[in-house]
Amino acid sequence: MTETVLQIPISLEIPIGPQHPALHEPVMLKVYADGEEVVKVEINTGYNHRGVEKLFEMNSFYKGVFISARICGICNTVHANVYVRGIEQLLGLEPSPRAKYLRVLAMELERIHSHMIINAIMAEILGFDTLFMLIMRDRELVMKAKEILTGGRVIAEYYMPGGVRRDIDDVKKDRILDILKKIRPRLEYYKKLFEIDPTITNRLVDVGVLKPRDITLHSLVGPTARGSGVKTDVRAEDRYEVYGEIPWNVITRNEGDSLARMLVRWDEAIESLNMCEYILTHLPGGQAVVDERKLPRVLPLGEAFTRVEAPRGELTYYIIGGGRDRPYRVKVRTPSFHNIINSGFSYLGYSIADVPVILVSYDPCISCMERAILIKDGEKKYISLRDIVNMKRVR
Amino acid sequence: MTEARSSELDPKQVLGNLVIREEFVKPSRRVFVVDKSVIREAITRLLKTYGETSIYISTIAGVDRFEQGVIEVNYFISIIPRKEVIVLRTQLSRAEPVIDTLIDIVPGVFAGENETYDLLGVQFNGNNTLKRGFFVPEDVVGKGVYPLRKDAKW
Amino acid sequence: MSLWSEILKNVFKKPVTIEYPKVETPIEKDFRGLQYADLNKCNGCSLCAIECPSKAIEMRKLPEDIKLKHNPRGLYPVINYPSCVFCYRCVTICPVNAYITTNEYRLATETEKLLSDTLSLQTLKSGGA
Repeated sequence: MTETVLQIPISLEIPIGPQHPALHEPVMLKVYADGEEVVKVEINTGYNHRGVEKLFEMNSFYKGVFISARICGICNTVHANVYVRGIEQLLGLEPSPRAKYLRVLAMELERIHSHMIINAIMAEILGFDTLFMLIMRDRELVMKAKEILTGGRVIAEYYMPGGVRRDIDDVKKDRILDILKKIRPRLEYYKKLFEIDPTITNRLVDVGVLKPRDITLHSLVGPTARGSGVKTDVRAEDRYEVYGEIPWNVITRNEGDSLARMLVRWDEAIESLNMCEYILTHLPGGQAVVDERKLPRVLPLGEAFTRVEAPRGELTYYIIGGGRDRPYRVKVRTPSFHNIINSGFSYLGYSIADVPVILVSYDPCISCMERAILIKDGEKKYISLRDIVNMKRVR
Repeated sequence: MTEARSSELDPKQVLGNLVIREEFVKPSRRVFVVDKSVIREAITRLLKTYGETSIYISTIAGVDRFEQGVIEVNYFISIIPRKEVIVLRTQLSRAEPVIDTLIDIVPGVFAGENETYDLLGVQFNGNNTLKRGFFVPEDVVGKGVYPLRKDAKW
Repeated sequence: MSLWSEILKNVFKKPVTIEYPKVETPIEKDFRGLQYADLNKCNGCSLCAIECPSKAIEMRKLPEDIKLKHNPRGLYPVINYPSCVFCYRCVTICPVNAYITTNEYRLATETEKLLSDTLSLQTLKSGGA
């Protein structure tokens, strides 16, 4: 007869990442599992560092408008918007009403296509490739609308302190309204599919439940917070640009699981579609384009803290001006910084197959998360394009 | 529940005697300068007045003021029912920047404190998850450099 | 259940992919594509080279036999397209509006016809077309 003297739990360490077919960007999740259940998760970051905060301090603040757009590809419009608003507050400029309406139009179009791609990625992770392809086909219409408005499909380059860089006329306005009319039945169809299809609901219901107390103590933001009943949205709190004048609603759900977070995103996409149609039919007249040759060259002393509601949550910039043409300090805090790094507690108790589902329901954007030092290169050699052309001929 | 009544309270009344002076950050956000030894008391008072589900720490920003010889650490706190963001500002000496940690009261400062330690060299007493190499690559860590300081060269 | 009707509709439709070399991709006229300087207007002030965020513009001296009255320093901008991010800061900051913009996006080629100095110098020969 044997007695149990000591019980030693053995847990298996499973590294997910940095390169893994289930993840889209490099992050390392060290998952410790006992059998099939997750007991501990450690998150390691730092694979995608590019040195952006130091780069802001070394270049003039006009070049900063283009640097800030390149922190993240899919939320480049909101990064440029919040940086430009911070600079406008330091300089004391005020854009015209028509420019403010056009800025909000660009941001809301981006919100629609960002929510569509994260839902497509969730379908792909579950193995539902047909739905991934269908959503991406309809997302192309939104990219075309953004190209008509700003001149670029992904990176918009639409913002400049004082206003915007291009204007729209009636022909373009009608084309964008036609595209929006075609997208509306598709968005409603996908939202209904996520609610009733058993392939999706069997894997998403009751997975990764977060309570409101966990959310505010760990500073999680965005649709992650709104899916658990915490009613916080920067567009309703700060009322920047024209969000105080357009009619819109804050969307929340109370269940707190992964399905609630994805359904909040579909509801927000339909709400953004309504906002875009309202803006296009109620555009004020006037001048929207700013003449870049007449803008001030020196950033005065002062500090500004601006926030914006990116598709992933609350994005904040803190800019300190130093009296020269370079800012003294720019601090960027992106929503994925808190949502991914602070959320190690929410995987405990679920099985390993739920780990990618929970990670994708927080909407990870790893390149947004990592900025801060500049790597100096060793030796540089300049080869111009004409040399490459000549090299090919000589051989 | 006294939640509805307590959200009407002004943060100045809650913090009371801990505030040294008051400043402004555009656009009209209030800054309360406090001494570094009372930061835990200030956060606990705010959490108890407004309730744990109505307040969260939005950003922790460290600024290296080279000429004045201090490193400032700013805590930006968002109070949801009042739709307001307030700033708690503390100043640490540049030669030895040490401050108490908040990680047992508010676990959400894990990311912010790690980033400020890795990039500026601010020590948080009581936080044993701090490590170099959280963001900074290993060849820079090997030289012992804190990259965001104004006199950093590598 | 509700995906079956969608799939059945798609069986009888054409594929959505654009068969590129046979069919042109539909692109807007004001898409941000290739840009180069018109030397009939450029006065060599170098503002575009100073303001470029990725330092892709280099000011070079004009060839020996060309002397222009409106360009006393004799410099013209040459853009290094592999470094350019097509933000169009050079286009909007130029004080005399000397940049010509196109919607050419097919830049993965090394032909002579798409190099910036060739395109700029050609504007002088054809007399400002």
